[in-house]
Amino acid sequence: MTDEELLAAAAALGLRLDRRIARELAAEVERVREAAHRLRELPLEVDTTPFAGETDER
Amino acid sequence: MSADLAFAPAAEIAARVRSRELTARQVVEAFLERIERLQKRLNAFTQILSDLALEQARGIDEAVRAGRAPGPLAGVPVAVKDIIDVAGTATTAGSHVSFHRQAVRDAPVAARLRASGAVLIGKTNLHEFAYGVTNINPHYGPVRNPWDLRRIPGGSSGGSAAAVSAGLCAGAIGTDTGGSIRIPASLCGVVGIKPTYSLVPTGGIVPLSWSLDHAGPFARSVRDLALLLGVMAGRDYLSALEGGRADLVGVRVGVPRTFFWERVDPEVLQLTERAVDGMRQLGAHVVEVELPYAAHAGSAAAVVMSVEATAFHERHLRTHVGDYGADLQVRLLRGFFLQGTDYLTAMRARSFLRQVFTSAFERCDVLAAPATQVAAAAIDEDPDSSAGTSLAMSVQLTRFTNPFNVTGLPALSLPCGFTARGLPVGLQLVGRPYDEGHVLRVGAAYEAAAGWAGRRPALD
Repeated sequence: MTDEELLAAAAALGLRLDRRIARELAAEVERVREAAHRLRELPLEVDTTPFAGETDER
Repeated sequence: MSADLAFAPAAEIAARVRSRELTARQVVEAFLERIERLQKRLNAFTQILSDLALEQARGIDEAVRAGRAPGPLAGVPVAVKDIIDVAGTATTAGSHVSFHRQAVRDAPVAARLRASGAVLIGKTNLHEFAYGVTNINPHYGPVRNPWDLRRIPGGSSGGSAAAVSAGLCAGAIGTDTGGSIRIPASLCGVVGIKPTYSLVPTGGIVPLSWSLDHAGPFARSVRDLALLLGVMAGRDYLSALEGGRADLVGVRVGVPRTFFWERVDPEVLQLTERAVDGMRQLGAHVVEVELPYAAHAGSAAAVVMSVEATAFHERHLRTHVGDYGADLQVRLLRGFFLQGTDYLTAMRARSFLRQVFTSAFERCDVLAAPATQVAAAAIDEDPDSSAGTSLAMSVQLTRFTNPFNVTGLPALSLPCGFTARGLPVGLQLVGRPYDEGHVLRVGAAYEAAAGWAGRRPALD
């Protein structure tokens, strides 16, 4: 994603971005999107739920 | 104040107050004087609660004189990360003044400490909104590492770790969403534990990422850490330490070589290897274990934290984005560019990873690994590079810590040596869910044999 594409996407979301952070934000967006993509490589079973956790008692 | 009192164990301070050898007021005045002297150099505090602390001390001294039990932490000065509500004080979260809130009641964790006789002596500086690891704070200035004032203390609970390390309090409270207790504990040469998810209540604490947030203590010894954690969790962890064996015979220490021992600075690697050897010499059975897919834990942490943090800050981001520091703007805005399916996939990945990690404990009782890849780095306050440095360091410093936020497992960091430059290095010990007692016992045995706990930074 280029800085310009990011600024356009942000404007579509109603966000006013400072151009000075656009480059770093674009890199970070790329990084977390890649992270999200990598998670799809895991062999998740069909019954793996996002909500049940053995240690989540709160 | 004598250095002996500044670095006295919490349990010893409480015993001396209970026996009337010292008054709580004398203790508090001595620590306030030391804070006054060192705050300018360390910048560990955002607020020094002199009046509140002296008022608490008066109540404790009255209780002692009247023969009432003043609590297991009677007169012990404890610092509180300034993201946790303390009644009658502002909770700044290390942020712009537009975010500050005046706390009308204590967070449950602060209330438990206060009820146990602890004196809440100050609110500690942190990375803005606890979202970062350098503790270079645009609103309150950087916290400085007591072992080298030119270096970061680690974060985000850097002020808490620095205050404990420098003898400005006997213990402190922090929060840990991706490593924010264990990283500064490692870099400042103190002991810190992120307990099992939900063991310590997180109400009254400004959230960073609800499903990853944990609260926990810092101390200068595992024994003091057990005392503080027991109060915070409403459990007893001291009995196991006091009645337990001094060796590690019968304990299986798992070493997850893949991922958790990779890309480590050579000095850090050597010191943590020596620590494992030390545990072997204490009788532990050291076994190599596999934690498949461990590298994916960081991905899950990145996605979950990005989305949850952005959700919490969304309204303010839309109206006052300029109130955040440059690195916070980047971290918080990135969450807008992920999708609901990304978040739920990350949450499903957490369930999967929790099962994978928990099954490793069929072969061992605790896991051992470096807490961080590197020791403390230099403070970068250059406005042109500071935000980028902050973002890069988060990825580096949370690599070995955030898997245990993702999985909710209890994880302790304790000193395991010093680099040639004199910088502390931390060993991370991880246990089964709710097995903090075992983790602390193994840590205490190693600590007693290794002898690192007695070292102090040269500040006086």
